[in-house]
Amino acid sequence: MTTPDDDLLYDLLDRWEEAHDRGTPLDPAELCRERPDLAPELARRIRNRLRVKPLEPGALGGTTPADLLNGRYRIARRIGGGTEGDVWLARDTLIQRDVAVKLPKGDSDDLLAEARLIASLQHPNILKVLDAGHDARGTVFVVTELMPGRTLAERVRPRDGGRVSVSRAIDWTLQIASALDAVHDAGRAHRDVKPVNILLDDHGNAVLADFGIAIDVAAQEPGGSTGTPAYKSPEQLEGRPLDARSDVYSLALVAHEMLAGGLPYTDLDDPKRIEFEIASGLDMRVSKRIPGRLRPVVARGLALHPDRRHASALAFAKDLELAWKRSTLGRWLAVIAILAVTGLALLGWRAREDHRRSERTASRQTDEAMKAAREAMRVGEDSEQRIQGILDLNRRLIEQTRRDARPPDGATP
Amino acid sequence: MHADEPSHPTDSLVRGAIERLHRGDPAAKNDLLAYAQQQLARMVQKMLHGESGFAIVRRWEQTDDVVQGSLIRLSRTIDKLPINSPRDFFKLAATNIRWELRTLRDKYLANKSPAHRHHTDMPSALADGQAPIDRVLADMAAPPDSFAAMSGFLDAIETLADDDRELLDLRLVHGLTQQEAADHLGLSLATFKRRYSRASDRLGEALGDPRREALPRPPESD
Repeated sequence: MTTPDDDLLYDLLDRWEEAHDRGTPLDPAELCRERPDLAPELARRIRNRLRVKPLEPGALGGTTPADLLNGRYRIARRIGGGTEGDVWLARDTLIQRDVAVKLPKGDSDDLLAEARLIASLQHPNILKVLDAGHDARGTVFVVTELMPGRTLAERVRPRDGGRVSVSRAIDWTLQIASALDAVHDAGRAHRDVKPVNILLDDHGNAVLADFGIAIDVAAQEPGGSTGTPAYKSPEQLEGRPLDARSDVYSLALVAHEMLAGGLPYTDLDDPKRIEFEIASGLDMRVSKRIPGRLRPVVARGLALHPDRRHASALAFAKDLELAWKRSTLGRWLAVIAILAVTGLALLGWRAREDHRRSERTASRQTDEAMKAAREAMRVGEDSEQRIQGILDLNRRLIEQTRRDARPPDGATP
Repeated sequence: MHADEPSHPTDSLVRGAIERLHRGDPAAKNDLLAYAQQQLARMVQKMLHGESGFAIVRRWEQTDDVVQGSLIRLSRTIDKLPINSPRDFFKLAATNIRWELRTLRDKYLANKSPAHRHHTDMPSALADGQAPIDRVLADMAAPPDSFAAMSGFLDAIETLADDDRELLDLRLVHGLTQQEAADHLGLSLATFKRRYSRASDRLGEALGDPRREALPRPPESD
């Protein structure tokens, strides 16, 4: 027997699990925002769910970790999921290296078409397809290189600090833009550019993955709206024909997320509001956390109308790089100007100090000269007295000698 | 969809084998045992395979040998019990597989006792006529993380009601997708998901029971 609350809790648990499996975990408290009283029970059920999940086989369609795909690839464990299938860690027993194996959730033909597209692109920033084959049930599997690092989605998670450094963000944007240009040159549009599809290795390289919903731009049919809501372009949202500029829009959103530490939406948990805000134009909502000179570039990438955006992904990324260089140059000029003013001020202060010091020295010398002069005068006074005394003495001696030399009175010499 | 209608490749395979078994085809039992062997092998692999590497994968062929021996018991059970539908067989096979896994676990824990650890360090011990299971277990330096998880599961699922255990066995022992499991039971996907969620919640609760946090005590060794 179930209660309305019980049903609601299982619905919330389903939402949490879907987000968890996509690699974009939701906060249980957020899920229960309208019914906070259910939060502890939901947290308990999530805890129990997490205990059981490692024991589950995943949506592997019968292929099991015991299977040796094509007599070569030993499946180990699920490491992620994409639009068209789940991704498993596997061992290439022939070459003795670890690889990623993708198995379809639905139509095998779609997975094979994706593999053929990726294999034809040959770009250093696009995940490499190594092999493909059929499992025991005839289901297609695709083997790709294994990226040992994380996805960009993990890197920009709020709990990991959200933002990345501006230079790093621009570097990754340039790399993904280069990959997207290769896709667009092949006449395709990726349509699912988002952080979870950007893999990062330990050497600072970003690699674009999951081409599951890529389309041939020349052969697209109007209608339908695939892709992740928060990263959709306005034309993608409305199911209109799209081209490379739709990916430019999604790339601008990824750049926004890296630079600002979040997307320019009011409420990420409200799909209807996200759609409304996309349709209203995100170019007016660019975060002020993004450096000033970069904001107009990101805003242009997010322009509502494709004609107002950059013509290519690389044009957008290079514009972003140029704006940052100008911003950096401006900052250096400002620093130089501040240093120059500070230097001049120091020189002026130093000169005034020298002048004051000279004045003080001269004054001291004058004082000393005056003192010396006064001493000299004092000495002079003493000498004069002594000379006068000697002169007086001499004079008295001369008079005494004269008196002694004068004959007595009446005597003739 | 009715529960007895063929719904997915595994179901069809098992149903066909049961029908042939009833007609007296001696090869039918081998087909059923081959299926059970594959599932048991997968579970053994899952239990012995650590998250961090492929050390145990290299020994897969040895693990396969281990599985062969345990199938004799299932064969005897098939002879004794009436099996009228894939559902009967899946329940029986799951019970057998879990029983074998518990045996394997207990042997592993016994092997890790000090008396046996001495022998694991000696390569000669691997070629001295030990049974395959002992050779595989002796070759393991330390239990992988998945060992504890699987060990906990084997004990926890025994505490649940039969209905819950059947649902969980289809996913966790037989490795069916939710759609396949729903088809197997003749349920809609939504109904299966809801029932599985409840059973899974009860299993999670049993797995989190502090009385089950620790690995079972190893049996006393000579």
